[in-house]
Amino acid sequence: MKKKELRNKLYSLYDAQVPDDFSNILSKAKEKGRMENMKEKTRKTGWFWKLGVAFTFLLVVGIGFYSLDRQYSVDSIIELDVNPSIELQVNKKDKIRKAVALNEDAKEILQDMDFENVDIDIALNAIIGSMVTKGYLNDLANSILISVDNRDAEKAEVLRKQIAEKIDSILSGDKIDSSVLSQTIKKQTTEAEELANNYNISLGKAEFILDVVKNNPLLKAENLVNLSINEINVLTQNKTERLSTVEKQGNASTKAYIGEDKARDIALSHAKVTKPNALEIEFDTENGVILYEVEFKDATYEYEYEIDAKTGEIITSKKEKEDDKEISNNTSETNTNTSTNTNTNRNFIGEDKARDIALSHAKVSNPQNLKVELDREDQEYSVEFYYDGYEYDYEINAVSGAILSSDKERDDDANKNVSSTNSNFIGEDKARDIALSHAKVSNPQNLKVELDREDQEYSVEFYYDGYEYDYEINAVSGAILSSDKERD
Amino acid sequence: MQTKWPNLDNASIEKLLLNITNEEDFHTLYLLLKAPIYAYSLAILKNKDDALDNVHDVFITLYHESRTYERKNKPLQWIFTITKNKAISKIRKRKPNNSLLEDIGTNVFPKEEDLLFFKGLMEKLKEEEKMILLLHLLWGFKHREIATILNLNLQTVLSKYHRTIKKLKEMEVF
Repeated sequence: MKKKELRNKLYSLYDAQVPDDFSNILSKAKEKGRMENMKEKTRKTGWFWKLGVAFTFLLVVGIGFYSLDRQYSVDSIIELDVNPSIELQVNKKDKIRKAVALNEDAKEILQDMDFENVDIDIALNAIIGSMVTKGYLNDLANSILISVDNRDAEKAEVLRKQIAEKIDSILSGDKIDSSVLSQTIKKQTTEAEELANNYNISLGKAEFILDVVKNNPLLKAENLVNLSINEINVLTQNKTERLSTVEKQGNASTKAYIGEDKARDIALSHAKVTKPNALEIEFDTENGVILYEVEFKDATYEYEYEIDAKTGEIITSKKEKEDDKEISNNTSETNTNTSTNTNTNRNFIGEDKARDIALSHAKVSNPQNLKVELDREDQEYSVEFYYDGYEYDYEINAVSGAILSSDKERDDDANKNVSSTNSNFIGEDKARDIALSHAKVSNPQNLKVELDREDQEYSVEFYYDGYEYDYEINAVSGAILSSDKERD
Repeated sequence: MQTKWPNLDNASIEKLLLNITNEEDFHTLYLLLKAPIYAYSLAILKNKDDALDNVHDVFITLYHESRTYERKNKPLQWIFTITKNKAISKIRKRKPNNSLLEDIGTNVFPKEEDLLFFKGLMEKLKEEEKMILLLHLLWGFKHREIATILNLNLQTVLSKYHRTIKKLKEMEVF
C-alpha cells in the first residue's frame, strides 16, 4: 500500500468511527458559554461560594451588606511560589482572608500561622521570613514568583508592583540579592489549567512555565514542573531568552552551580580541544537536573556536551563531523542577495538557495512537483519534491542553510506514471494473461492487477466460479512466484 | 466509500479556528479534525466511548478557547496539545475499562477487511509505532515535529516510521 492510500485508508477507518455529532457539540458549547458567564460573576474559590450563600441571607435580612462585602469577600488571589507554593486570598481592604498551602513545603512554612484579617504586608513579612529561616530563599536560590489574579486588571497590576517591591525589600533586609518574578493572571488558558491540574502545581507556576516554554521551544513544560522557581529562572537566563508576560527584577542566583568557565574547561579538556570555535554555553535541564550545554567546533568536528551544573559531571558528550560546513560558510554572501523581499526575512537564505541545497544534497537536478515553503516561526524552509519514484523531504535552517533533516521515501504514486515507460517490465496486460492462462480462466470477475515496484512483482487478483485467485508474478521475467486459489 | 485525508494545513485550520463562532466554520473544522483527534484519543485512552467523549470535549474547548489562540502559533500543534492534555486528564480520572476491540465491531466497519486491518493496526503495532504513524499520516505533522512531541530524536522517529510502514506491508491485511 502506498503512503497516500494508507493515509486515506487510516483516515477513513477512524473517521467512520466518529458519527457526526456536531449539533450536539454546538449546543453544549453554547450552553457552557452561558454558564461560564454566570460563573465569571461569582468567580473564585468554593470557599467564596459558601460565603455567598451566607451573604444572600444577610442581604435578605438587610443589614450592612456593603461593608461586610468589603471585609469578607475575596477580591484578589495572590500566589507565592518558591518551592513552597502558597495562595493568599485577599479582600478589598488588602487584608488576608485565608492562606492556603498548595504543596507540602508550603505546609511547613505556614504551619499554624493564622493570617485572618491580617494586612498583606505583615503576612508577607512572616511568610518570607519563614522561607528564609527554613532555607528556601538564600544566596543560592533567590527567586520568588508572585502571581496576582483580580478581575480588575488595573488593580491587579497595582498589587503586583506593590507586592514585588515589598518582597524585594524584605529580602534585601535579609541581605539576599533577590530575583523577583511577578505576573498578573489575565486569562486562564486551558493549557495552564491543565498543566496546573495534571502536575499539582499552582496556576501561577503553570503560567510562568508556559511563558518560559513559549520563549524557548527547546524546553518542555513537563520537564519544568518539578523544578523550583529558581531553577526555572536560571533556564531563562540564556542569552537569547526573554519572558513575555512575566516581569523580572534581578537575576536568578547561579551560585549553586560550577559556572560557565568551569563547564567550558571540563568540556574542552575532555574533548582535547584547545582553540574552540563558535563556543556556546547555555543552561538546559533534563530529568530534573540543571545542566550546562556546551557546544563548540574545531576544524573537523562539532562537539556537544551536557554537564551537570552542580557537580560538573559530564552527562553526555557528542562529536560529529561537520557535514554542512560549506553550506553554512556560504550563507553570509547569499543573505545580502535574497534579503530584499520583506523586512522579516532579512537573514533568510531565500527559497532558491534552500531548493539548491536540498537538490544538491539529493543529487537531483530535475525534480518533479517541487515545493518550497518557509516556516517563519521555526525559521526553516521545507523543501519537497519527487524524483524517480522517490519522495524527498528536506528541512533546512532558514538562516544558516544547514540541513536539519532529510527524508527519502519511496513514492509509489509517482511510479504509476513512470511504470508505463519502464520497458523492462512485462506490463499489466501480459501479467494478467499469464495468470489467467495458468488458472485456465477466460472471463474473470473483479480483475485487479497491481505493480509492486519495489519488489518488482505484479499481483493479479480475480474471482471466478466461486473462487478467489491470487497470483504474484515477476514483473521482469513473467515467472509465476505464487498462486493461490481459495473458496470465496 | 473511503473518505480521503483532507490535506490539513495550518493556514486553513487557523482561518476556521479564528472564525469558530460561525457555525458553518465550526462544523467544517469538526468534520476535518474529528478523525485525527479521535485517533489520537483512542491511542491514549484505549476505549471507544472515552475517545469519543474526548473528541466532544476538545471541540467544546476549542469553541471557547479559540480567542486565547495566538496567531503565530501553529494551530494544529495547539489543537493537538489540547487533545493530548484532555486525554491525559481523562486517564487519571477514569476507572479501568474493557478492551478496546470489544466495542469496535462490525457495525462500524461494514467491510470485514476494514475490521481486520484496524485490528491488525491495534494489535500488531507497538504504542510508539502507532503514535508516529497517526501523527504523521492523520495529523500531518512532520517527522521533526513528531520527534519534539514524543521527545525522541529525529533519526529514531524516521527509522521507527519506516519500520512501521514495512510492518504494515508485511501484515498483508490489506
